[in-house]
Amino acid sequence: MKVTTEQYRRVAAREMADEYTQGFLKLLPARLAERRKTAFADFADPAAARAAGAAIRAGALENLPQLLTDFEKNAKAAGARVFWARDAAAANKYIVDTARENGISGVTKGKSMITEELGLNQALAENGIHAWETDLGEFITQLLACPPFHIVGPALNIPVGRISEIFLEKGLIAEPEHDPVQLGLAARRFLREKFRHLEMGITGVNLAAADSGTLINVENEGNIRLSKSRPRIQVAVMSLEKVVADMPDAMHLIRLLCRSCTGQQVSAYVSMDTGPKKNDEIDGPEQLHIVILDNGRTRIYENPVTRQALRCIRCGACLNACPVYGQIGGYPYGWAYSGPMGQVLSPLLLGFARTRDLFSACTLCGKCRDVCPAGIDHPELMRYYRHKDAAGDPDFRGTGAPRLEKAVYGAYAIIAGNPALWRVFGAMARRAVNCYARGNTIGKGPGVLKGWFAFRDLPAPPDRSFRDQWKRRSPAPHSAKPASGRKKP
Amino acid sequence: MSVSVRDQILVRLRQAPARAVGQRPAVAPPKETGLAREDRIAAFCARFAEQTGIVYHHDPAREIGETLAEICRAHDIRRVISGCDAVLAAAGLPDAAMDIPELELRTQAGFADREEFAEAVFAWADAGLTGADYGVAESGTLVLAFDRNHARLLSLAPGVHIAVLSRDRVVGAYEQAMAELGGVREIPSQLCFVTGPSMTADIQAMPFKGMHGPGKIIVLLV
Repeated sequence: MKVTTEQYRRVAAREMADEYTQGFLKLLPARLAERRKTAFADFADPAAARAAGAAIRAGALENLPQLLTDFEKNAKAAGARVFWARDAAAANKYIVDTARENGISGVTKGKSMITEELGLNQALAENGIHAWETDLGEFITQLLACPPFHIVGPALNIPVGRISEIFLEKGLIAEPEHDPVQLGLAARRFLREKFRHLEMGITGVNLAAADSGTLINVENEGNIRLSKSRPRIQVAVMSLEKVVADMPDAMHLIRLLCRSCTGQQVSAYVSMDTGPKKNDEIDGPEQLHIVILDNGRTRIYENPVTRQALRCIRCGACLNACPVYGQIGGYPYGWAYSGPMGQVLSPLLLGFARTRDLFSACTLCGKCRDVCPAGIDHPELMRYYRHKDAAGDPDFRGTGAPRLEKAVYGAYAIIAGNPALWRVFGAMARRAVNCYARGNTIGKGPGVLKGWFAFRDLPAPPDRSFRDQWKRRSPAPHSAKPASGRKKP
Repeated sequence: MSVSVRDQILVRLRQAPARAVGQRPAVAPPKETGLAREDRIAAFCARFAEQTGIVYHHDPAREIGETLAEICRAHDIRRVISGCDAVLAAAGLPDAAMDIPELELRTQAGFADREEFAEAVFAWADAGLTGADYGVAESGTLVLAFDRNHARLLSLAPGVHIAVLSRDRVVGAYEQAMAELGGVREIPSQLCFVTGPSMTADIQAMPFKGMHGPGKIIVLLV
């Protein structure tokens, strides 16, 4: 899919002016957040359950090279073929080659964020292979060529009228239809023919268990199960951080994932594949290809601060908690990952030059961190990105702060590091800013500060500093001894 | 070439600085693990029903074929494809269903070819009949382990899935089912948790059943 992260501001402004989007955002995130809360209540100790999820993900990452090696060994022993892909191009080439070698002209796809990241559909199309998205929401966004609005329901916001129009155009229905259920059933009939006849299925991976080489997918519709059961060839694309130690770890994460995502105790289907079908089975894939994808993740892993971003299990709870997402919806984030999940992942995967607005548009309120079942500290990462970007760190393709900003903060660092300078500067600044005071508040500023004051006020500082006032009120002996000369008891 | 990419990735991961991992807090197992047998079965049935699953309790005084015939009549099911798994066999199925006059029954063993089988489950059958290896009370979940006698598409392609579940195989938590399963057989090529019918809410958050898989799921408890 096309990356439009650099258009964040423009799209956000458009979405905030869009009555339909706004009406929708008033309902959806709150409803999903409420469902999540209710679902967590049946854990004996919800906080401990979440902390255990964080510990499982953190532990799996610390042990990642070993887990990947074990996973590969066990998956191969079960008969799977494993391909390690450095980047999107390598992964796409492997999948296209696999399709070609087997004479495939069409594939069914289960919903998968990772193949969105790869731009796999485009790569297949360029080679004459049509990829049918089979998750209802993904199917609709594919037909409309629009990005996902929400990770749980990529087309949740699309009005039925528009779905009816595109279904008419594509021949799924003969008459206009405005009943969501009838539209869904029309998509079922259409896609069922694809499932019946296509010979290759492509899915992502929610989790993998190292000790058995098992791939796990979580879904409600059955399209992933069909993509893994009917075709002769199955391709599973797995980013390298998906692996955990064993099934008990995976089971706990599934409980957390389903509750965090849709507020279900568990989704309708959780399917776990260990190798392709056995020789004597009448269905299931004859070939199981597992693509282990790096695509920049080793670099994210090497930095101990950014490593935590790889804990993400793509539940989407952070979207529903985020006050910014709640105003603008999923489109401005411009890629496969929206909300805080996108603000944390996209800058690392795409570089800061195209994603600066994503991590700037955060109030650091921490609500995403509070609901995250993997223990990601989104505000910490967002502050870290801002720091690295301002410093122009080449590892992150940061471009550095504007010259004026650098000069201002450079001067500020010198002044704030020297008590005498600080006192002089403080006295001057107090006098200067109070020129703009109206009563006890400052509501506007000159030049570049105008923007800052557009949505904020400052309390007007008093004429004298705290130190000055202290000196005047305290008896002489204390004022002679500054606070730094504290005596030991 | 892929070997070298693999090694490069693994080397970089191994050389990355370690980060301390906090203690993992103890998590209490789901409360259903502490229930007595009958309560556990009741909890399973209640959770299964919450997901619009339908439970039939087989009366041991009756023939299993009679109960199945009753289910088929109630849900307008005329054509059934059955698995041949051990759970079904222990309940006397599908043999006992052969005698139901209004029912056309085929078993997966009757298909030599995967294409022929796929056509039958997609286009011919009203319902798929399988055993369920376990029922899990914590969420009303069926555990299906697929193999040569239990095809994947039986519980997926037809509009209705009928699963036979033994009252002896209802456990409290997923982990218990997995552990018991691991003790008696090799890891299946696919293992599936099924909790209610196929569903979606992708258009306007309007939920409905039967998106791609069965719109109706029935448990026959024996």
